[in-house]
Amino acid sequence: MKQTYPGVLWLLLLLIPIIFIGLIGYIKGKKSIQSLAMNSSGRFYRAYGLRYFLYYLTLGGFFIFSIFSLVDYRWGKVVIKEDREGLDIVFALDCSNSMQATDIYPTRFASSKDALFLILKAFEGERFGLTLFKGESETFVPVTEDVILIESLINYLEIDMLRSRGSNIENGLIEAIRAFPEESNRHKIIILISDGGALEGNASRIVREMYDMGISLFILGVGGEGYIPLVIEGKAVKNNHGHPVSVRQEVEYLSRLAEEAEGFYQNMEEPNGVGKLIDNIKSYFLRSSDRGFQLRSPLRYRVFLWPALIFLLSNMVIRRISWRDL
Amino acid sequence: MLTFDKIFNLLLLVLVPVCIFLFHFRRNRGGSLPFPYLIWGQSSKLKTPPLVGSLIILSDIMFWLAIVLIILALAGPSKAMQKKIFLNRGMDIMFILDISPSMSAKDFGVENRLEGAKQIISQYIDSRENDAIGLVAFGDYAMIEVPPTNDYELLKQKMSELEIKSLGEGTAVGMGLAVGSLHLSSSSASEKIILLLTDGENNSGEIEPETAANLAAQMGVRIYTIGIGSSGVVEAEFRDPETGKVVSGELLSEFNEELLVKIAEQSGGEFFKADSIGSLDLILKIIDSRESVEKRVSLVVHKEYIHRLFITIALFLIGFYFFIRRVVLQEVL
Repeated sequence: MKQTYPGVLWLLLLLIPIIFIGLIGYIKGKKSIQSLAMNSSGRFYRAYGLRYFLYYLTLGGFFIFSIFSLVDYRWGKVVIKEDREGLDIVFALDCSNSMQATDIYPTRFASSKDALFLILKAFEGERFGLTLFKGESETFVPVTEDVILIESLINYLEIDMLRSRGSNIENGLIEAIRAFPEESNRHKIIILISDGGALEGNASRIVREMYDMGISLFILGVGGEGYIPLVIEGKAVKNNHGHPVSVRQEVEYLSRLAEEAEGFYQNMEEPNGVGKLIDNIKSYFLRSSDRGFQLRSPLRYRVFLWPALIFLLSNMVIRRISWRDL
Repeated sequence: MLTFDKIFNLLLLVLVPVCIFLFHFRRNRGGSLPFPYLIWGQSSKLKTPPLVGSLIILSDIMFWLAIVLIILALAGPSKAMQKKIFLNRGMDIMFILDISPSMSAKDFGVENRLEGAKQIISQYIDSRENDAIGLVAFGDYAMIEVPPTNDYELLKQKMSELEIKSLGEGTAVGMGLAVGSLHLSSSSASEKIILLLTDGENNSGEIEPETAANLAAQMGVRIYTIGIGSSGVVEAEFRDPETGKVVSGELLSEFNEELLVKIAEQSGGEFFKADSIGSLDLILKIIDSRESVEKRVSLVVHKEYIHRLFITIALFLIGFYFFIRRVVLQEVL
């Protein structure tokens, strides 16, 4: 079961003031009824209490189920007919400072460039684009079949080609999405090559939108899992407080991003890491384009919205039930 | 366009007016507590203050509106947009544009030959769809500015940034053709053409135009050569990209028509003369009519689900309903 918008669940905290208002209302209401109907039997107050409880139960039930329906849960798979052929692959390459770490020889960035060459070779005949990102992002090569240009550009890529600072995976993915030609009938893939050190942005939001747009996300995680000091040109990098900066690959974060997009994460540190990523892409798209369909997880919000409607109508019924019947 | 996935769920809306009648207008509908209250000498009915009455009605409207929105959300509302997608490959077109100083001649109607060419090429790009278009610029040497791509906005942006003399003072026609052919070599398009626009003689570069044209022909690329501008002495002016100074004067303009004809014929293309912006426009239209690929198009419906908007508004409405009844009016029952 996957949650598309898990942050919505924080709205359940609104039930606290509702319950609080309910309790105060019950006490006040009981006092008001006591002053209006002084010698009424206990049965009267029990009816009032039961009615009050049912009112808040149905109202609370409506709020809870409505909030759950807003989360947009997905589970199971449905077959969606899709008649696509070929791949449009956009590389979103992280060129933030942490990619200069030397836990992979010679640097994370240089190893990432090697990975690009392997992927280009493995998918001959497909179309490729290249975007780079740091704080900001830029498309360096629009989606094209011209592999000669991409290969020669990769050779000249330097980590300081973008002037902005920081690391914003969300911006990188947005720029990569823009690079796809709209009228193409090809499968759309973004290969994110990064150490996962996202200092800003909300990549989770954009990967969920990517899933809805039918864009597949494959992540190649770069760097070791343990912290190492970041050294650039022989000098240790220090933060604003003068402390040395240590970096590592954010494996958990990258895995979670891939999971949210129903994509695939591969750690480049693993033996034949890039090869495994390539095999996964091939097996996924070869399988689906062979059959002319894709498996996708449908939205299941109605499972929660039907009970919400029933609770809401019940709330009105509770309010309208004749007192004498109770 | 608003569409619904589960349209049968909308039948529930029929129940809404029925429920409204049953809950609000039916006699003896209950839900009230009758007790005796009589003001001596006045009407026995205790009238509801107008503000209170209005708030009650408003809260009821909010409640039923929320019910309607929930029913609409259950029906799976979405914004549907039709998108055109191409099922087959278009052709690959490579523009090879001369940006040597002679292209600053002011005999082309607009600012100069280069700006005139840019304007017409931009209009040509706007008229294309599904064709991958690239751009090579040449002066002393040649450079690929944009590889063949369907990203027309990027292509037009890069073309607008081209400056006279930014690639030197010479005219390396052969290098331009060679670079253009090289970047078409990986193309799987069934039709590939080069549109070479120049106003000069080949006087730079290591590769001769005939050699480059032969290479292109072997790759199945057709070359259309377009000689730009009038012959003779023409006025020219441009801003030097290195110094920023404006350079102006007169130059003797002449392109090697024989060479351009030979290049075109070698590859199965054609030579054209464009001495004005209007004639360049016509030439591109003629080439367009001769080069076409069958287009197989499919219309795909792209849906953006908006049920969350309906549910969110319904939640707010019920929240306001609760607030009005329980906090403002301090409803007891």
